[in-house]
Amino acid sequence: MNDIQKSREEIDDYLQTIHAIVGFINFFIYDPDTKKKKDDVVVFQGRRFVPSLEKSINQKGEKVNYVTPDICILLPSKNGILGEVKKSFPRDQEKWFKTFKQMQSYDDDLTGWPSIDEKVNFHDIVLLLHQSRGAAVREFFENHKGKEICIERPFTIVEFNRSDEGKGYFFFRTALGRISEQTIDNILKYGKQVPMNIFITSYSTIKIYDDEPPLPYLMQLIWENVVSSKASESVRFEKLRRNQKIDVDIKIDNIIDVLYQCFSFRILYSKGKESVRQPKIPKREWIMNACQKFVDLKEAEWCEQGKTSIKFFFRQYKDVLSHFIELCADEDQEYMQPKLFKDQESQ
Amino acid sequence: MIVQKVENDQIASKFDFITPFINEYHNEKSLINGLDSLLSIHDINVKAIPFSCDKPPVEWFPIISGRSRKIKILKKYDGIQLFQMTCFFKEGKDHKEKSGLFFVYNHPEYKRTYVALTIEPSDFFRRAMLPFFFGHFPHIMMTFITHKRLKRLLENFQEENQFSKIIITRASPKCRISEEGKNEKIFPLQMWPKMQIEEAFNWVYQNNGWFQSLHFEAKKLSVVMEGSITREGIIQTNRKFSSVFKSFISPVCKLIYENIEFFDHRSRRESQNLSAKALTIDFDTDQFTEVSENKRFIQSLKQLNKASISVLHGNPYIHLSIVDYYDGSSFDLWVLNSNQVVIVPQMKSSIFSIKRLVNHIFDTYAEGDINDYKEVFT
Repeated sequence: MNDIQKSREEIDDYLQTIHAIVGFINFFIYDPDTKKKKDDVVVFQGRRFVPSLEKSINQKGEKVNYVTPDICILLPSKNGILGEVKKSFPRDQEKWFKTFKQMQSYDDDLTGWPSIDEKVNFHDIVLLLHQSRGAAVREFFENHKGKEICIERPFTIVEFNRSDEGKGYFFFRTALGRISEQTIDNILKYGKQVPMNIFITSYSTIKIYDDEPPLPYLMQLIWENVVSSKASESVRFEKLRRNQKIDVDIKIDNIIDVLYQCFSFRILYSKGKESVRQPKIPKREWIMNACQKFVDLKEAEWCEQGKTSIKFFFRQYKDVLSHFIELCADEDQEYMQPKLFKDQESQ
Repeated sequence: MIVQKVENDQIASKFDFITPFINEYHNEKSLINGLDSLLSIHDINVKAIPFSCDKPPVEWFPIISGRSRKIKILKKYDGIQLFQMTCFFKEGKDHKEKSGLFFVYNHPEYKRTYVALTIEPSDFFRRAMLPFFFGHFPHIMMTFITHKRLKRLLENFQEENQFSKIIITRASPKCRISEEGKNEKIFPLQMWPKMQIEEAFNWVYQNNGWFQSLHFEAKKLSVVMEGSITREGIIQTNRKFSSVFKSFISPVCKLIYENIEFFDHRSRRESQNLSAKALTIDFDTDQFTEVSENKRFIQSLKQLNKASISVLHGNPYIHLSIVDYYDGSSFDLWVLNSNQVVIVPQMKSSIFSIKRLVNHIFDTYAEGDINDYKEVFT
């Protein structure tokens, strides 16, 4: 697989993870009887929870300020669900303990739920993973539970799979454990196919979650939704030729704000439920990385040393995503080439 | 009929009816009736361009005069304005100019919808007026008439006026032709089919095409009138202007108005909580049954000029990200059903840009019906 194909697969994995989160949340927020959204279920993505005193120091003796599960659902019964999504698992099973450590950190009397006292009566813990890894991860958990892995709260592994036959749907099924919410458990026990077409507006409005997106994809999001939009305010925009450019000055805060407001899970949060516990996604460091890449690729330059704003050289590309995938791949090749020779010299 | 025409020509050559018509006061009704009367006396054509404009033409047209074109308002009545357009051009070493008059009729029923009307010769219409209206896209928007709708317009015209036949005398169809292993191409044709409506439309449908324009004659015992209509809704007639207005121009204005209303306010910026207002193109048949169809669709989308088309997913479903370089509008486009395309307008999405995208899909891929996307949850 070449760098371009690899990059495209990473982007597809990233989007698949978002689609799986949206699909899983749907089981809790939509009422199958009325076919309407339930107003009394609150969902969040990447919310910060404060651990209890007992778990506020990790095994290395370091202070843990907060944990941030991928999925947080608060039901009207004041019961909750915390979930983590993993599209891929590393080959080396030793590294899987890291994921389960994360799951163990959610097995705690956490503070930060979107309730008045920021607590719940009890909560489930769900590991949402790709079906290709479902059996192996379940076996791994069963082999190590009660020993290296201790989770006391109800723990469930739910596997998902995007159908690559026919028109798209996601399949969800419980691979291990039971979900305490009976109706959802009944649905997931035997597996459920969810057609993708019912989530088109969510998929089109949620394009980032609290994991760093592949660089070319993040660059495309910035270019199409921030840079193009700002460039279109210029009188030259409409008549711009393909070999011409428009300089566009944009503040980093502005890029973060546009992507957060328009393309993060914020869109699913109930009005007025945004809180300080909700980290602003995308993270500043991701945007700084992407902007530095724009500068390295001569698509932009920093406006000042402090790097608080950036001047983009807007041009009309026929396929923005391919443009940045190819540029990033080319740059990686250039970076690899001297390294390769260096290795050969040292042999 | 011929005798009548000769008599009319003799009257017209003795009397100038055009100058008083131009100079008299007009309202919407008198303009249509006046043009109707002129056609029955003079051997001339009325050419009509129904259009929409983001600013009222009365304010905007004189401002956008450039070095090669000047537009002056000569008369301003309620709902009607008379403009003079002068074009400057070079023919060999000679600097020349061409001048002509046209009315702009503000449609009383459909807001932001206008009709430019002229009885000037075809040369002025083709060399001055049409380039002006086409050249100011996206600020001036015409419509697109689907194959089905165009047929219905002609059939209604025949029925309403009790014509025995409508014969398609000249047509410019475009056919989508795909050669094995190659991208689909669109071939323009010229034909003189002398066919009736049903036959002509069946032919073009079977050849996977559409009529870019067609000329027709309407008959009772003999030929009553000759006219033409293009896919953009530009209409010409040499007789029966009131009937043509009722059967063609007014429905085209309605279509423009409905498109504006339907495509307007779809930007996420205009929605509470920045939610999306998606729309669908629904096809009569299952288009996307084979994977190769996805490729064909993506290829046809990639032909959209002044736009970026990024493919986020191409098989088994389609997910594209589109940016329009005319005004910065952007869209997500999805194909998740075999008979439906879903367009999700993003933060900025203009009427013109949605129309351009839908029009492009109709032209280069297939025509369908435009509807609101309905979210159905399981």
